[in-house]
Amino acid sequence: MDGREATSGPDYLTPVIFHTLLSLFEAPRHGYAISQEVAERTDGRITMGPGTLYGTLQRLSDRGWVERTDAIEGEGAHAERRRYYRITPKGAAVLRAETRRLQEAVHLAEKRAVLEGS
Amino acid sequence: MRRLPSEAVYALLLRALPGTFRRAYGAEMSTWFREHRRRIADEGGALSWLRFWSVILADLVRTMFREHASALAERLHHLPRQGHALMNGFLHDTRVAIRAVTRRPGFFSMAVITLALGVGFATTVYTAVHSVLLAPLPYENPGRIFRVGKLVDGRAGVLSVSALDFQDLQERNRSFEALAASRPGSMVLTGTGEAELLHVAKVSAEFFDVLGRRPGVGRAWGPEDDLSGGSSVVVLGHSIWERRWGGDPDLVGRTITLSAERFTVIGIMPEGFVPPEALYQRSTEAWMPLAFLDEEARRQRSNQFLQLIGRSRSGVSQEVATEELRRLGAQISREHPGPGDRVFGLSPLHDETVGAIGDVMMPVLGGVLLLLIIACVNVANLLLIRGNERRKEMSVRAALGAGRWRLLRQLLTEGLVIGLLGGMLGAALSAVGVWAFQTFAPPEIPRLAEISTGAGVLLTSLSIAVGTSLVFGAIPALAAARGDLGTVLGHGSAGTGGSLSEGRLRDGLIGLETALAVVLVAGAGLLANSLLRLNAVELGFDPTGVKVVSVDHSDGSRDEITAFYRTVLERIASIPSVQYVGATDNLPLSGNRQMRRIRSPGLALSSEEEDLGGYPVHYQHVKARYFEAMGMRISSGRAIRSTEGAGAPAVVVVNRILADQMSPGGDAVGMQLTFSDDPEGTRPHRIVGVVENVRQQRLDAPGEPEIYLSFEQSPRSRMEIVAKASTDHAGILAAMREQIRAVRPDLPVRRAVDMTDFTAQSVGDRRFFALLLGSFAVLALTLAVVGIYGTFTFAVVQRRRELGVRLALGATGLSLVRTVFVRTMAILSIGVGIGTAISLFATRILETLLYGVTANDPLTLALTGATVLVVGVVASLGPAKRATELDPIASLGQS
Repeated sequence: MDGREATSGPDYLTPVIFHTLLSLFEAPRHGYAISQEVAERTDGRITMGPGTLYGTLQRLSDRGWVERTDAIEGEGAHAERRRYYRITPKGAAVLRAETRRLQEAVHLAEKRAVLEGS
Repeated sequence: MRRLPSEAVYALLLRALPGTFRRAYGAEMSTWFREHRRRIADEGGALSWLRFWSVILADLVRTMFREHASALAERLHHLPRQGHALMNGFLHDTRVAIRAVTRRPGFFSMAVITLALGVGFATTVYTAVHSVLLAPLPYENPGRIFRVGKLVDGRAGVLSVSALDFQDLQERNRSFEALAASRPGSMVLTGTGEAELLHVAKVSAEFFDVLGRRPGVGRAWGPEDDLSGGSSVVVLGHSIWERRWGGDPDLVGRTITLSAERFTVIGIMPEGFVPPEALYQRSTEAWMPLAFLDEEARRQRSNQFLQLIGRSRSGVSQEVATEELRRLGAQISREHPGPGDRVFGLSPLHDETVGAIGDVMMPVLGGVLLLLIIACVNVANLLLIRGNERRKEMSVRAALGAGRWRLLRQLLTEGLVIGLLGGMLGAALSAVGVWAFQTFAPPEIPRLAEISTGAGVLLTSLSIAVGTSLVFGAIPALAAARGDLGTVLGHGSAGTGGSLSEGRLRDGLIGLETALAVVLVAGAGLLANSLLRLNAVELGFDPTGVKVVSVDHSDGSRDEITAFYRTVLERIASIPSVQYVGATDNLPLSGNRQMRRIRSPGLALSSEEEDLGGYPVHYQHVKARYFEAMGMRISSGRAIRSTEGAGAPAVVVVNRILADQMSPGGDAVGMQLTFSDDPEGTRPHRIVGVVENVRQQRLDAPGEPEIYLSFEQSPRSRMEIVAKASTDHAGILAAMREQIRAVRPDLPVRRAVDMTDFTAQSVGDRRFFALLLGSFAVLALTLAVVGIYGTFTFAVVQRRRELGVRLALGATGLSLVRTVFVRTMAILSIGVGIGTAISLFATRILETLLYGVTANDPLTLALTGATVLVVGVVASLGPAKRATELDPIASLGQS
């Protein structure tokens, strides 16, 4: 809201950002494919409408975590220029750091047997 | 249902997003939308669509808030450094305003939503009214296009003319650049895919010149093809070209089969071409030369079946053209004397198209404007309350040296933010509203397909929203800025409920709101009352369990048609649970009118009727057990028998109205009548039965003289087969269609309806507008409740010190409630009184829509007043209760 987010942001990733990065970590994708992939992977728990999706991508671009490329899709007369998104090395580093943080958190919780008996 | 213009709607909705974001991602969001829509379409089901749209809209609203905030934050971050002092101030105000707004989300969203509802509804209705009533027709120089024809008794209403009269007019007139004739019809398209019934129009070559629209692909035909019985050519509409031939440009030059005749396609009309609805169905999809009219019919001046439209020469006024037509009419009448005078005249095509729909739409527009005013009043009230709450803060800031202009500006900015957001949300709402209007409006409304939202309309609605919030945001600001610091700081802290004049303003607004709500509720109440009465009308037939399927056997001989209907009716009679089967060529309430003139010894004719050939009656042909199937009651004599065929003496059944006219007080059965246009001369028809009156033409019009003729004695190719079933389920309709298909698989079914639905549909437009006005009334009441509740709650809170003193001095809670209540009741009563007085005049614009009640129906008005009063009282109960719960110590201690 106040513009600071663009440079620093909170010290953890929101689920939407995490899953967007994760989906791009596998391969560059276009917008619709990202939201479909995330929805499938999370069994529909995280659904991104077009506004949420592109708003997120805008913020990730501002932080230099993803970048846009153009790709040609289809053949011959049906070929269509489409915009693809791909994760940057900086974005991949952030994703790795976040994964590590989550892993440690899970590790800690496991040590205290949080899930046992549930 | 109309094709969903969802992508256009979405594109329009995207305009609510900030420009930078939209430019960067708008196209991609549209692609996303398209792909997802395709997926949902594969899944199918109304629920999926509902979920789809709720996800899309929720996403859009969220994004709108987030991106606007983010864009604003971005600007606030960068601009100060550029050193624009003025801009700085404004941006500071905006930041403060946004902060203020987010601190009070309840107040804020209430104001925005209220404004959005008012603006959204008003824009929707205005868009519809503008597109239907005001926008020019989509033709070249549409102001010069007129419908030309015979005038009846010199009154408005242009009728058809004969082919010979058309030729004379075309040759002799000097007023028209082009004069064209047309005749609507229908034909069956076969050969590619399933047989399909098409609305077609046989038109003269000038038709395309009159409209100034020519085929986009291929060509039209010339005058030589028209009446010479020339070539079999056809021009097709764009949508059928896409639907049946996938837009194949090679179709031009190929032949297609229409009602067993071969036609060469010579042209395709451009996309978006709207056939002139005044002349025939807007779904007309094929045009062919007039040559395809019956040769015989064209040779008779008495056979008046051509509808004319003309384009006047530029510079020729409507008066000049009217005068010439009148002169030519007299000339032609002298040369060819015939039944009735030929008085020719014209009427602008626009008026003919729009017809009387203005009578319906203007009240709705009036209603929605009232709603908009109520919404604006409500927002004004909210802003006044809010301004008052911050009065003290403002005064303190003024005392600390903040400039008045600065304070004013800050409150204004707050109003601006609310106005902009409310306006944008309202504009988005109206885009959905326009779509809903097009989809759910009854097809009787002309020019439905042309309804679209223009940028001008959207801008207007945005300005209204912003204007309201600015003006009413300014009042408390001005009061504060006037800087009566002593008063505010001294007494203000004691909470006097704001200045006296402002309190009056608030009371006045509540009164106004109440009055306007009364007008809306009264209008909706009158319409609801009319609908109830229409539903209770004695139909004269019983639609329960009656199913209707209609077919057109237009390519058969007399014997083939008779045999076809005999077989089909026998087969349908064998469907389990079908009790009676019959047929008619004129279903009640179908809007068809067939008129003939009769003579009978019992019937006294006026001199005019004597001239015109007899007494006018409506007629229809019936077959088999039609009366039983329809539940119509024969009160005297008997029905027509199937055995009374071509050889037998001619028989008819008449309705009660005609019977009473022919033999007042006596029995018409056994009397005879003749038809003035009977091809077999003055053959007598014997009346064998009298049937009770049926609402044949319209639900809201009493019956007219009707005659029922025997299908066996004059078979008709197009009949509506009517079956009465003992159990009411949809399977019967399917079974009826199946039986027709078994006999003739290539005949398309024109209509397959449940008579109950069909009867309900006949008041569909009235119901639609009543529903629209009713929803405005409900919304108005809701807004009034919100306004009343908010204002009085505020009043109690502001007066808590005074009330607390009274409590401390021994006043009971009850007496306090009375104090609050008396004031509420006074304001509400004045509002209701004024509203009722306005209603007495305002509801008159509804007169043409009412049935069985007058516009001043005392019961409806009294009920309306009572309803609004009760609702208002209930809304003020909460605040009153609050007064009783005051803790005197606390309210004295608090400031």
